[in-house]
Amino acid sequence: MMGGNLQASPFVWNIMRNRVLLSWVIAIISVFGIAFAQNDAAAIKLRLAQSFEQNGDWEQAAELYEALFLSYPQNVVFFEGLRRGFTQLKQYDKAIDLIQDWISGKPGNPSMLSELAGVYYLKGDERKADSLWQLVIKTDPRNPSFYRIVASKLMEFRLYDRAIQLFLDARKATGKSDQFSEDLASLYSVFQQYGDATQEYVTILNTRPDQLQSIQSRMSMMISRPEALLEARKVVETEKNRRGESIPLRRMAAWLSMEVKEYSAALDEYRVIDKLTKASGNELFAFGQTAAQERAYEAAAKAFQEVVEQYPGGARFPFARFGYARAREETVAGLDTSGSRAALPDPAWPVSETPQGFGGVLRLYEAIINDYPGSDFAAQSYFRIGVIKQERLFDLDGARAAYEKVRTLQPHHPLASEASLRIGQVSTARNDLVDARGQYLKLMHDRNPDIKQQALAALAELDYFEAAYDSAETKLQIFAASSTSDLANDALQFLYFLQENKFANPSALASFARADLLMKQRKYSEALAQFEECMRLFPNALIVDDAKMKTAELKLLLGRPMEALESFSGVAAQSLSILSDRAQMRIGEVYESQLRNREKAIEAYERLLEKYPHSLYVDKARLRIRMLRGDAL
Amino acid sequence: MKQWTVILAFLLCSGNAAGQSKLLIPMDLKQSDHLKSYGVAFWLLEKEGVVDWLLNYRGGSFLADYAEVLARECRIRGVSFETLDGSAAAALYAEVQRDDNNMDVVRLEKAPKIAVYVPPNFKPWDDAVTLALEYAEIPYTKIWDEEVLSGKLSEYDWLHLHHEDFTGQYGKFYSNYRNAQWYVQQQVLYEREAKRLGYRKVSDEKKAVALAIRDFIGQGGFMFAMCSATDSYDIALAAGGVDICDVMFDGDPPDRDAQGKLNFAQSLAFENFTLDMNPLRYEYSDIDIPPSDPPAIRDPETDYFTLFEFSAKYDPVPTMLTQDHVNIVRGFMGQTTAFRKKLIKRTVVVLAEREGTEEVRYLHGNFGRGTFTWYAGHDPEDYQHQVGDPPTDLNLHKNSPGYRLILNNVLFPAAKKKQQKT
Repeated sequence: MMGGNLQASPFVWNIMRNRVLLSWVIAIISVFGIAFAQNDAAAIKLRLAQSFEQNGDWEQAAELYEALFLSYPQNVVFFEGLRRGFTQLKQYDKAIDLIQDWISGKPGNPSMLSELAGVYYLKGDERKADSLWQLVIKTDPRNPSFYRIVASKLMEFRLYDRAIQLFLDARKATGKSDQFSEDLASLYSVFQQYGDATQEYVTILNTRPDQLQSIQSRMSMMISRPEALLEARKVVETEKNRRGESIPLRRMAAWLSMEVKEYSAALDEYRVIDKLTKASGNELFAFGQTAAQERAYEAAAKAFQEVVEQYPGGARFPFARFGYARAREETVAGLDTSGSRAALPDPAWPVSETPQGFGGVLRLYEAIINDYPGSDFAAQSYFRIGVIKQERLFDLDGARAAYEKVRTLQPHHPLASEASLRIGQVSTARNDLVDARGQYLKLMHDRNPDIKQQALAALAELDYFEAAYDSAETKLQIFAASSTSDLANDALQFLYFLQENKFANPSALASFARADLLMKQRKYSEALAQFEECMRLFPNALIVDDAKMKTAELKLLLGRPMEALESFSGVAAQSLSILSDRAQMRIGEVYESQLRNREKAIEAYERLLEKYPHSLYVDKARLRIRMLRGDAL
Repeated sequence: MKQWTVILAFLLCSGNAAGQSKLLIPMDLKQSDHLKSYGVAFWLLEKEGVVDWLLNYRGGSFLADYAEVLARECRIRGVSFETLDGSAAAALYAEVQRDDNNMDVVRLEKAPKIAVYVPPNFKPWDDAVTLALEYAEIPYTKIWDEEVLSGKLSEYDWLHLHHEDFTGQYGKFYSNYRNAQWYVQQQVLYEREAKRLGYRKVSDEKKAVALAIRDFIGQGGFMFAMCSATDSYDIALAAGGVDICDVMFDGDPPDRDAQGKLNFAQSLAFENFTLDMNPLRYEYSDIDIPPSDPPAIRDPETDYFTLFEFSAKYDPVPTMLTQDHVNIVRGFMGQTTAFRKKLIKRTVVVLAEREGTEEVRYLHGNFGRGTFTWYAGHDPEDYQHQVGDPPTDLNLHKNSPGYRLILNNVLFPAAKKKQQKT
């Protein structure tokens, strides 16, 4: 008890001090508690307002934002929400007042000034809006950010033309000619001003040459339109002529040329690039590879040739030599597509040339072999020599010798297995079936499943030639069980052919097989005679129609199309033959591609449609008719 | 072509009716290519031939005088046909026209001139109707706003509306695609066009186009629309003079009282619908059922709709429009998947619906001297088509019952005289 004793006991002091402390604690907790409670309530209100906003219920949203803003006038989130609300509700004067108050409290805020201008624009006061946007720019005319702030607002109101002009003005003001290039490129592209867009991309490239790939990627979409590609090429060409030493520009020009399949123009660029970068032929070589991949063999050959001639000591030299020979081989084989597919004719490149033909190609490979004996190049060259001799020149001895060399040089290389496969084919062509079988049997242990399958198919064929039909069937049935094999369809067809004829008339089948073998050996006249003998000896055999089809094909190979047509017609006339529709189709094809008789071809195809409406060939026949008729497809 | 016309005319006139052989293109399950069959019929009409449409006979078959050139064309196009001699043909006519058979013969006399309303950047594979027309080899002309507003629609008999958004909200793709190049380019293109034609806003221009189209119908034209070209069209008509577009579409916020200001007397098929004006939602109104935002999860295996049967003799028009080789058709979705039944005006004829639900899939109505037919969904052979999906290959859907409904509408204007029965 305090009473007249002024000095309380320590115990009492403690109690009193604790009470005061406790009161303070309670007071502080209360304050924070209220604050937290208020913050919680505000957070809930904010979420509610945002939900209303998302649902498009602006009245409710604005009401909540207003309440929140009144309670927390410095809170930018509430301010922004209320601003949006007023704008959406077209309460532009309120929005203007709100923003102006905000700006007055926080001067030097170009974003907010731009927003204010936006509200004036919505209100319809374009003059005021413009003056405010100008004010933003005038705050610091050399500051690109301010231009971006205003441009962004202009684009929001779809004033794209003005945004473009603003960016262009910014360049003058900042003195940076590459300012806003990416923005301008996008805008021009949207407006289909492809030339201007390309000019901007070129500007970016000039200042940031490492961005070439990124620019190409962005331009890819644009140049999918032919008119855009044309414009882009013009601009790049002009710029390239102005800045001849610019490597990125040259690369871009080359890329655009390849887009229109003008490989010779692309090669011109790579020639220059190679010199400018002192690449010693590496750039040319890389282009040669790209062109070869795109089957532009003429251009590829030219590129490789230049590497060979100009950089004989370079690391790429042997690769280029082989590349050149390979490209030449394809060109001679008439597989060049760069001339036929180019949008514009390329006068530098006829479709096929090289008066030397395959002879010249062989010499190229032989030279590689001489200069790089025992190397991988030599092995590859031997292989190519083998292929040319086997398939083009039918020099079987020469082909075999070349393939043997491959096996000797690179016994463990995948090419060695390929070479063995081809030796088997050569042996078959030379009528040495024992040797052929030996080759294929060895390949049955090859690690490459494709090689094994091809060997198996070849063994089945040998069995057929040697009248070992059961053995052939067993092998073919292995394919039938494997639906993933590329050879499955052909194998199945062959299997059914064997099964059908083996039981019906094995002698006829044997006779047919002998003729087939002669045909495979390219002994066409003998094969023809043998098929005709087969038909004479077994006129009622099931296999006769197959024989007729073969004789027809042989007559075509022997340059006797009219006789071939007669044979096909013989089969087509057999209404019960399963080959009639195919024969009828072949009649149409012979008229179309060999005899170039359009009317007869159409007539033949129409006959197929009429006689065999359920044939597998009807779709193809219809397509041919439509093409020959000139129908727009 | 002229040579064929002469040959055809000679052949058609040379035999007497009783002895004349006929070529029947069956449209039941025996037909190898239903869609190209419409093309053959159209081809014959273009050659000034005559085709009889046998309503409800073997799926709505076509019958014409036999001519070798016609038979050849059928073969080339892969269309099955049968040859009937004179007596068989006479018996067929008698059967179809018997009073106790719900069948009838409608003579198609003139190939209608077809216009498709599409923007300049249009690709034929973007739209089921143009896909069908291209596949069936039925020629059409592309027109756009300038042609419509300058009165060129009067040169055509049949108008198809592409998936245009007549409300001026760019298909309501804003939420997901506003930064996509195609979206931005499209908006720029439309704005430029509107400006060039003298309109401050795209929405105003599109409303003018909608009105011009309505006038075309009123003066005897035929209009066909699918997917969102249906409800957006009607919304545009009802919202004449009312701003329903948000700021990102037309530069200013919409009228807050827009819903209350809609005039349903102006629309063709729908009334009392509620707009969805949220720009972030991929939906126009509650006409569409189920709503597209969020997209409904439906089982394509159980989504079917039923075609109604009409009297061929007394209601030839809806009968023509519902010719098919099946009665129950597989459903398919779209921005507008189906029409909410209770919002359809009573003057409109419902041609097909999903039984037991509020979903109407196909409807038809009259306006003035013309008619309109609307078909909900985007692509009958692509259940749920998304932006950027590969196009449907109709070579794989030659017998599509859903696509047949589209092509029924193409031939129907060729039968003008018959319509007078209703």
